[in-house]
Amino acid sequence: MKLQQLAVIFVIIVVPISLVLSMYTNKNTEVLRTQAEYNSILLNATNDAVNTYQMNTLRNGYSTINDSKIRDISASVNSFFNSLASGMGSSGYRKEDLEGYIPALLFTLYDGYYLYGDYQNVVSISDGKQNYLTSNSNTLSSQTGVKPFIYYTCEYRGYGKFDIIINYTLDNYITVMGTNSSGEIFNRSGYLIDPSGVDASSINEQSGTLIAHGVQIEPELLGEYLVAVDTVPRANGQTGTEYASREPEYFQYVYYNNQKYYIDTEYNSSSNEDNPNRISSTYTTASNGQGINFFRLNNNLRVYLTEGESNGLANYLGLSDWTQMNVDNFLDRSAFKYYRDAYNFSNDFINLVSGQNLEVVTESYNNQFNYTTIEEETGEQIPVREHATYDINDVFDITAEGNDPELESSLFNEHRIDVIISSIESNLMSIIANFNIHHNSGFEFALPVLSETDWYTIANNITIVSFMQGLPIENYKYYSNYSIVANTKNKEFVSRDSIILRERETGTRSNDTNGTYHNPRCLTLNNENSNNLVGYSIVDYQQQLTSYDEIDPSSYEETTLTFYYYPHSGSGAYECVIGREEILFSTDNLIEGTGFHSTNDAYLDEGQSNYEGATPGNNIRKAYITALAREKYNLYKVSDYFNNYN
Amino acid sequence: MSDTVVTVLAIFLAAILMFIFPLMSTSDRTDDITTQAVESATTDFVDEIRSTGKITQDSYDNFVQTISSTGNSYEVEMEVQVLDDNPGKKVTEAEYTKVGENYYYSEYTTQILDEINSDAGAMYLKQGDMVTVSVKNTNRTIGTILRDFFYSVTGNNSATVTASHSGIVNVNGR
Repeated sequence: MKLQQLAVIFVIIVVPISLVLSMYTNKNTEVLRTQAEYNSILLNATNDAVNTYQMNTLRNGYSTINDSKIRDISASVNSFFNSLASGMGSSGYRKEDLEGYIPALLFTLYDGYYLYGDYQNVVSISDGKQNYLTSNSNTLSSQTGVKPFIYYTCEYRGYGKFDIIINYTLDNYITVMGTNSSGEIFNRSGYLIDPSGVDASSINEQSGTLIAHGVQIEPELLGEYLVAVDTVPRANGQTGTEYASREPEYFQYVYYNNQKYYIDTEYNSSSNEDNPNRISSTYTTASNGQGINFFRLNNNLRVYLTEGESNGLANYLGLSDWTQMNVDNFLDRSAFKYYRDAYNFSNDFINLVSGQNLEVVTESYNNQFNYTTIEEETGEQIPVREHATYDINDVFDITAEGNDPELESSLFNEHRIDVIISSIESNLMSIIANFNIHHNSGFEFALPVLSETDWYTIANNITIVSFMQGLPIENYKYYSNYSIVANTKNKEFVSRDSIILRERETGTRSNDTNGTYHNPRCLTLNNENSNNLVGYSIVDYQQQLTSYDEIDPSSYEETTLTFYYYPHSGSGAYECVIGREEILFSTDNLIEGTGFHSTNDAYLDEGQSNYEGATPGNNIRKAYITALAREKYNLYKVSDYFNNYN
Repeated sequence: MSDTVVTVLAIFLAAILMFIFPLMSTSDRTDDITTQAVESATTDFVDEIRSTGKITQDSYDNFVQTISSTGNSYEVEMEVQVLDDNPGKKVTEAEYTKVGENYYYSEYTTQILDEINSDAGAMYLKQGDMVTVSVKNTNRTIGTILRDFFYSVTGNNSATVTASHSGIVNVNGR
């Protein structure tokens, strides 16, 4: 054979191989790119869903009410699909097409979660009545929607008739329902703490003080800026709405019935008394002829209290009647009540569970370590979650060293996380598996393996988790992934991480706008060692708006006026709120008053070497513990009717 | 005479076809596969930052090691855009009818590396920050050398293996 022929044969063999290989690798790169692109689109859509939820809840005074929550979640689902569809627009997918690839959306909230997914509606409406279908056939097409709320629940059994169900939340608030070993009913709810952390002899109802975690909890002065609206009498005898003031004004407030009640110092002044046209029509005078200058807000509208209401408020603050209330004793007592109630509840709880040999009855909890899923590549069965084991009885031994349920590192907290995950996991598994019934795309929908960090995020935050599966991409592959976005700014849940400290405001705007607020774990803040710190929830540092329609009395023209303001002015510190490099302590350090862990000593730069083994200052701890207790205590809780302590 | 010329030409062509073409094509494929590996490593690295909220020494080293194992040298460029709502806040505080805007300030590779190489061992981010990582090779791969033999691409943008990925951070790092 001639050399030329060999060459030709060689080329004939190599060229096609090279071409095919080239095509294959190009396709593979394409697949990778598409996957990355879909990941981004999914994550962005989930982000949009979280933003929508934040936008709808943060500025709505009633967002924690259940009806409002469902509406907000439906809106969030909508924006998720809209965002996904616009992201996918270039790939030719419409919103309707995409529903077939989203087997589930998970909305975890403070005390339970909502699942959005596929279900079969067995109720039809005819003649205005519900008509239940009895056949189990799959002829009806499925619907998608938000399914009923599921609580984070676990059931325990002990000796005799001991059988309790505990509803967990994202923090140490629990609801216990059931019977003790002799069959007596025990229905209580409250914050579970290590009662030895509260000095029992220090509890003083009259002054509202006690000592918890070694710091003095006492009534505190709170205040915020507001742009409020008043209903005012008009010249024609009608009433209309008008801004109380068009720039934010500072008001002192206390929490009462989970609501803020403000003291208005201006309405007692002569300038307003002389000008009845400017006074809110809800403003009343008491039997002694004095005006009652306390109000609460009803969607930015100031509603002044009646004499009876203000007396109730005065009693709550430890005063005999409302005339006693003034700016000096208008102090909030929530933190005191938090620790007092938690102390009593925790003691009752210890009495209930002590000496019991508890075992978990809840199936999903016991099964959680047996769950497996199918490894995509190899088809192998692999465990969904692996975990350390511990004795359930140790979990409720809350007086044990290091097991204060308020601490992040406690065994109680670990068990709480396990309960939450097991509940979510079993329900997610079934909802995603059920998706196969209605969507025969040839792809087997199944719960993917979530990493331990992701589970941790879910069990400690209000989150939105989205799953997207079965989307065909090139090379005969399917896209399958999930994304998790935490919602750290919400009114439903005060996490250990959501308290921001600042110097107490003076009430003068020009002063206060120059202030800086810090993360309580910040080293700079610790160095400053101010003794006039106050903590507020991070939500109170977010922008608020007040808007109303102003109607021109003559032309009846309507203009909407909107004012934006921040309840707490000043700017975030760059070392801990905007950037995060000076956050040194853990929240457990703050609560317990311990120094940062020795392995973290290396965090310090040379110039700061004197801080080796530093502990957070007592001023910071006091402000942090008080603020955290206060904000937690005033959360709206559905199971609060089991709280028999206040 | 003309026969000799044709033979020389044929040998020349055969040499190109038999050695250089397969070599070029194989080295191109190698570059493609390298790109794939680097791209997926970059995506993983950025996604890890997004879901943990921190850039640690460990994950950065891992990332660099993964991409270096492809046999090329790389230049890694990182950018973190930190969400700063203070300027927007100041606008709103001065003018109540205006909604402020959020600004981002950026930190780049050297600043980020300084921070993760310090004692802290990590750079912590917060929810809403954005992170971008882009990678390109700095050496001349065999594919580039062979291609330059026939034709060369002028300009700075001569990297053959490139990857970049970016996204919003989802959790508070610390």
